[in-house]
Amino acid sequence: MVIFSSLEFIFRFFPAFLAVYYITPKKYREWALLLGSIVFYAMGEPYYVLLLLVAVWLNYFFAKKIYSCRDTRRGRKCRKDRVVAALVMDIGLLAAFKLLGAFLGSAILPLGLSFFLFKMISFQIDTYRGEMVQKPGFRQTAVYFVMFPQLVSGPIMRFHEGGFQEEEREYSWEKLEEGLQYFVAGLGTKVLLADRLAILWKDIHMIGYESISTPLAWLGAAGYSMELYFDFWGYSLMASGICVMLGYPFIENFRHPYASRSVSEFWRRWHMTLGSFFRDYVYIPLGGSREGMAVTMRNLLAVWLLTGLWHGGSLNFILWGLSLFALIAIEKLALGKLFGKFPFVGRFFVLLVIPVTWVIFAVTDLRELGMYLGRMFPFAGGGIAVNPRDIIKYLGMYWYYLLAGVIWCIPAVSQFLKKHRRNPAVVLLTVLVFWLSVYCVVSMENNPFAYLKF
Amino acid sequence: MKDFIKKCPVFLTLAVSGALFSLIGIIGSFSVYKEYEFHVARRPYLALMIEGVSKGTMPWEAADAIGMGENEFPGSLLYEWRNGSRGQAIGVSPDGEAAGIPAESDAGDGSMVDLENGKVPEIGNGLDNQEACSSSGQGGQGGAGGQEPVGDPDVSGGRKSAGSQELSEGADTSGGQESAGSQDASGKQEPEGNSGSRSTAGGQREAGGQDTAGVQTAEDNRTYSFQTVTEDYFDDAVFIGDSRTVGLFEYGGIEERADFYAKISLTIYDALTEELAKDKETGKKITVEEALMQKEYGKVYLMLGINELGTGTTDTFMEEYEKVVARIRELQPNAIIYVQGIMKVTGKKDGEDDIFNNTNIEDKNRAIAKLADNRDVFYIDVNEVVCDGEGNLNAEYTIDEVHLKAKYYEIWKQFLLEHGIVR
Repeated sequence: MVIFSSLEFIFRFFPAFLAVYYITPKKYREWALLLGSIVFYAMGEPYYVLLLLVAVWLNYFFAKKIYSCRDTRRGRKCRKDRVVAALVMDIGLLAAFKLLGAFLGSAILPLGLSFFLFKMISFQIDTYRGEMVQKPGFRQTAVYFVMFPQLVSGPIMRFHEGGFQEEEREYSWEKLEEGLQYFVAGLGTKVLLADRLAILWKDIHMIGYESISTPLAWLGAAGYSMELYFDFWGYSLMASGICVMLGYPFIENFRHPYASRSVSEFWRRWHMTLGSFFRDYVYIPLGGSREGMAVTMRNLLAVWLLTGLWHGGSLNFILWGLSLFALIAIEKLALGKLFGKFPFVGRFFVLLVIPVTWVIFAVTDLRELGMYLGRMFPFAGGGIAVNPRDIIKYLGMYWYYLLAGVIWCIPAVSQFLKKHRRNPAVVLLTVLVFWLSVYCVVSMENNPFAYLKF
Repeated sequence: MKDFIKKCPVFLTLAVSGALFSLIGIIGSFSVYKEYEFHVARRPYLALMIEGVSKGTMPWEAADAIGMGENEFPGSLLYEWRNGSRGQAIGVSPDGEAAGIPAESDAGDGSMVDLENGKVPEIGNGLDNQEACSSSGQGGQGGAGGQEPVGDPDVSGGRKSAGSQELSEGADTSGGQESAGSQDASGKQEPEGNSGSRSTAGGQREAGGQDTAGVQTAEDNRTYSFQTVTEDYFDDAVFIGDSRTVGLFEYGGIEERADFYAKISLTIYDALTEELAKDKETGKKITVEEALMQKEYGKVYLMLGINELGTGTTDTFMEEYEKVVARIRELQPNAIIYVQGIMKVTGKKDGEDDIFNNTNIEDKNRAIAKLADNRDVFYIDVNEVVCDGEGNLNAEYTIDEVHLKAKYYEIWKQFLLEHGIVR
């Protein structure tokens, strides 16, 4: 239900909501969105919805207090005290649940917790920094926090990006159509590519990492890199597409990251709303890169440790954050200039090292991780019962998904489709992709053993 | 409104087609989709239509429920049109026969026609759904492929055999060492003549059921017990099975010696009719049955049954299993047939799965074990060496609770070596 690619969402919740939303007079549409979002969340989290509502109300309360400091004599001090209190609450809540999750298993975490809390944190800091054009009302604030397209997995939109304080929101048929096309593109990316490539990664796991050949280890890393991208990009496209359909702006979360010329650039183009969150609320407040190389390095380290921890509590995520820190530090210190001169080398570097970092991200058990990396770089030999021809089998089974994936990673392809999105052929393609995706979703739901064919 | 159509073609098309598909689902829920598992609260009606398509039931068949049958006016037109197009399809198949496709693959064609008619045999859909889905996914990505569900089985068939190609290559390499341990002095015969003479023998056996003693000579009545053999024992062996046997082929280290006719999700129902082998001369794909006609084996190992857990009963399963064993006996009169117990699943899987659990596996294994006569059909159960104290697949040996990790296929191979029969 809370998954955009599920049948309940596509054919039940969303059409019903859309009808109600557009029948509602413009003046009350934000209320409709607020109510719809609460219903949406309650379907996924019948208990934690209360926590969400309390968090919304408390954050609104604090923000109002921070905002009202502008009228007091000691405005600066007042704002600071109050923002600290608000942040202690939000970060405390996040940390408490993450700790609980680390001990009791991630099932205990409320859906979308890190995403709506990050929105709340950014909202408090923006208020503190005096970036609010006017005093935010409860309705706008609450809608911003809970709007269902962004509630579960982002993108982490900023308050000012949402156009909440503009005179009137514009609604049009064109936007409805445009948003729908984004949604379908995202649906296809997730269902037709990510979900298929996920099976390759599962297959490799099933063999046991100690027994895969080196080419298969790299194929797996490449496949997983694409799967992760298509899964999250597809999701973000669906989320932003829904936003556009409801009259909100399109929030970009991925800008063809695999076409980057350096790891630093890759991370400016991957999960952009998270990256810019850490940049604006951690990296720059710490001094950014203005205070010498040593401080810059410290700040980078802080950002990457936090990024690692945000993704998960186990040791491999810290290792993953550190490896990215190391790569970006090396680029800043030495390789950056080389990549500037020879962009081709940079691209090659990205395509070579990013999949390795994703393997560190994916394999949570350190011993297993060591085995996988050992197969990718078999300098020490190793490998038990390796079938050197396994690569042929898996290439044979997955080459078309991998090829389609590579093509879909090329910026020009989606740019071309976007540019010609009103062309009848593209319209037809969109419709086809939609029904094909639905067909696949039905087959999977209908057949819970889809992954398990013996 | 005109403005709307111009501005929102995708929205409009999806809304209209969605409404249409839902309508078909609702209508069909009283007729063609009646048997499908469906809860109004949990799934939209159009899922019925899509499920139907994935199972080979065409949406227009739902129309029969609302007076659109072949004898009513608008329905008769539709019926004629459908009949016309099917007539063309049939017109093609004689050409195929003329091209020399042997009788067995005709049976395959027959089942394809069944698919078109919507009478899909139970086994055909379940686990194969996803494959059909993925192959059509490919077409969609290319942007050219329509959603042509009837064509799907074809496409997925192509993919499956691509996957199994490797197997038959492996089989080819070992082809040279053929009949090293064979006792049949007559060597290779004409396949046709062979099958002819053998079928009579098989007929007698079938008639006699399991108790074949009456027809056999005194010498044949001897029973044998297991002993340890060396790897060259597999030189004239063939393995038939599902993904577990595929794993044995890939990681067991005997792929150079034995032939493997194995495929993911293979069942007892298609064990002989799947095209998993290659003709040694022409290189064309042939069915397992044809392969067994062409080459004489000393040992035939079977492990099948886990994919069938969800369909039919142990009795219907065994009925088919006995037929397959009888047919193999017919084609390979001198081979030792090993019917292997189905490898179990882990305790975790056992506890959470209503279908793929060890209770069901044990039930089938007990039935399979009864086929053994310890003269030329032997039951062996690898669970003896891969299970833990509680009789579940050892959790350390697997990631997905069902398949051995690559390095543990060695255990299976060793078990086979310790359970050789020498006559």
